[in-house]
Amino acid sequence: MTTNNLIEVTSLTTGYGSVVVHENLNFTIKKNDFCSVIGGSGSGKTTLLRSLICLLKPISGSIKMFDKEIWELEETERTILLRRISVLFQEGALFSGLTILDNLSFPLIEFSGLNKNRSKDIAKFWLSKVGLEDEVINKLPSELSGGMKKRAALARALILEPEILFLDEPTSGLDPIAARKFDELLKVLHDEFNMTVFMISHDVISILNLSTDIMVLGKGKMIVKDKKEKVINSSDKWISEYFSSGLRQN
Amino acid sequence: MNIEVTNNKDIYKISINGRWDMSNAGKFINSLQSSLSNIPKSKKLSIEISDQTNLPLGIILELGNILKEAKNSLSLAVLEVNFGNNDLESIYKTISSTVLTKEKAVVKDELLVRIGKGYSEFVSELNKVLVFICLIVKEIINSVYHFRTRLRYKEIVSQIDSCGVLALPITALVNFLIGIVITYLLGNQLQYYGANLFVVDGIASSMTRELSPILVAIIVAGRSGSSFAAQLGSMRLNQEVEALEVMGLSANNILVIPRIIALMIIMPLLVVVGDIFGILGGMVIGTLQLDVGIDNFIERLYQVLKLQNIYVGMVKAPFFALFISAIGCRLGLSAEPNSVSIGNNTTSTVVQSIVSVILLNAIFAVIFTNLGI
Repeated sequence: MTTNNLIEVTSLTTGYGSVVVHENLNFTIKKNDFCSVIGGSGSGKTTLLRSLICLLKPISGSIKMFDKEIWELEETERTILLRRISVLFQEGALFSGLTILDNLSFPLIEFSGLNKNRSKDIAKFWLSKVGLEDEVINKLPSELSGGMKKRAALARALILEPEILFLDEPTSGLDPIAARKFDELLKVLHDEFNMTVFMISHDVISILNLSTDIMVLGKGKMIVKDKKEKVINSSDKWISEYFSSGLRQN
Repeated sequence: MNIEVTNNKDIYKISINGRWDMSNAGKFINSLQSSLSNIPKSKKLSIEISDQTNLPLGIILELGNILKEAKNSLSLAVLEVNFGNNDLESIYKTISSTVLTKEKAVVKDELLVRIGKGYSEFVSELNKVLVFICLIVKEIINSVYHFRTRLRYKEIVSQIDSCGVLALPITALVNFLIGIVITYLLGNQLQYYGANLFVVDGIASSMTRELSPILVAIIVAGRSGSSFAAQLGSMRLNQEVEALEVMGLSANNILVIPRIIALMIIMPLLVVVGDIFGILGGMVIGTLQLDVGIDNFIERLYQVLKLQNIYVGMVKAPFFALFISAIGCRLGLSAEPNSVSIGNNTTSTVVQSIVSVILLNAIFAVIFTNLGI
C-alpha cells in the first residue's frame, strides 16, 4: 500500500565510527512539503542529509523513500531510486572540468539517452528558469560568480525533474539581495512544479519565506518537527532565540 | 617601564611601573622572573602595580600564572598583589579566576611501538591497495565485457592524450640522457680491453629490459599518478564525487577506469619510445666518445638486440601502469576534503607508486628468470 509519505524515517541513529550524531530520529516528509531543517552548528544537519541521500549508512534504524527501504536495496535498485531525487550541494559541486552546458547535459546524456545536441535546448530552458543567460553555457564553473554557480547547480539538479530536491544551505555565501532572489526562484519551483523540498539552512528569512514545515535538531535529537507556524510560535527558548537572532541579523 | 625589587627586613616588594604592551610581553616576563629569582624562599612578597601602570590582558594573564608558580616554588609565606588602579585589579581578579582547560599531554610512543605501528600501517595500506586493484580489475573486466555501454571512450582518449602524448618529450629526453650516461660509464670500462663495440650489447639489453620500463614508470608516477590523486582529491573537495554518487553513478566507472585503461594502453608505447631514445643516446656517445661508428653500432645492434627483451619491457609496463593509476586514484578518492590531505595523498601516491613499481620489477625478474626468458 502506498502512502503520501515520500520519506519516512524511523528510529534512525547515525554517526561516524563510534561517534553517534543522532539517536532515534523519527519523522516523515509528505509530497509537496517544503521542510527546512535548523539546528546549531554540530547538531548533525548535514549528517542527516548524507544519510537520506545514500552517502552515509546509518548505524541503525530505517529510511524509507518512495516506500522503499533505501539501505536494503540492491545497488542497481538504489541507483534507480537515486534518479528520482536531486541534491544541490552547499558549494554547487559543478564538475570543474566541464562547461556549464556539459554540466547540465551530463545527467541527460547519462540517464535520458539524449545526445549533446538534443540536450542543449533542455539545458538552455533550465538555465533560463534559474535566471541565467545563454552566454554562460560555454563557460567553466570557475568563470562564474558564487550566485551564478548556485543557479547553474540548481539547474543541473532540476534537469531530470526530480520528485524530491535536497538543498544544503542554498543561500550560504550569497549577498542578501542574491539570497532573496534565490528564495523567489525556489518558491516558484516548489509552487510551479509541485516539488518536495528538504532544505538545510541557517538563513531564517529563507526558512520563513519558503518552508511549510520546520524540523529542529539539537543535541543528537529532534527537538520538534511541525508546521512552520507552530514551530516559530514554539515556547522553546532556543527556537524563539534562533528566529529572533536570525531576523535581527537580516 | 620597569620592574624593581626592594626589600625591607623580611618583606620583599616588586614594583611594576610604566606602560607595557604586548610587544614587550617577553621582556616583562623575563624581568619578572629574574626579579623573583632574587627572592629567598619562605619570605613575604608584595607586588605593587602603580595607578599609572598599564598592562594588557595577555601580560596580566601571565602575571597571574607566574605568581602562582612562584608561590609554590618559593614557598612564599605571604603573597600580596596591590593595584593602584581599580580597573586593573578587577581585570586581574577576573582573569585569575578563569580556569583554562589544560591540553592533554601527548604521550610519545616508544621506538619499538612506533616501528610496530609503522609496519602495521604499511601492511594495512598494502592490503587496501591490493583490494582496490582487485575491485578495479573486476570492474574493468565487466566494462570490457559490456564495452558498448560502459567504456567511456572519449575520456579514455582524453587521458591517453594527457598521460601519454604529452609525456612523450620528457620520456624521450630522460631516456636519451640515461642512455648517454650508461653507455659512457660502460664504455669507460670496456675501453681498457679494447672492447668498445660491446657497449651496444650492454645498452641494448639494459635499456629494453630494465631501464626504460623503470624510467618510464617513475616519470609516469611523478607526472600522471600524482595528477590523478590531485584531480580526484580536488573533485572530492568540491563535492563533485558526491554529486556523481547521488546521481546514482559509479565514481569508479566514470573517473577511475578510464584513467587506468588509458595508462595501461599508453605505457607500453612509452616504454618503446624510451627504448629507442635510450639506444639513440648510447649511439651518440658511442660514436663521439668511444669511436664506434654509426654503421658498426647499428650492425651490432641488429645482431644483439633481442625482441624478447623488448617484449619483456612491454609486458611489465601495463602492470606498472595498473598499480600507478590505481594507487593515484585510490588516494585521490580517499583524500579528506581539505588541502593538507590532498597534498599528503599526492605525495604518498608518488612514493607508493615508485615502491610498488620496484617491487613488481623484482617479482618480474624472478618470474622471467625461472621461465628462462
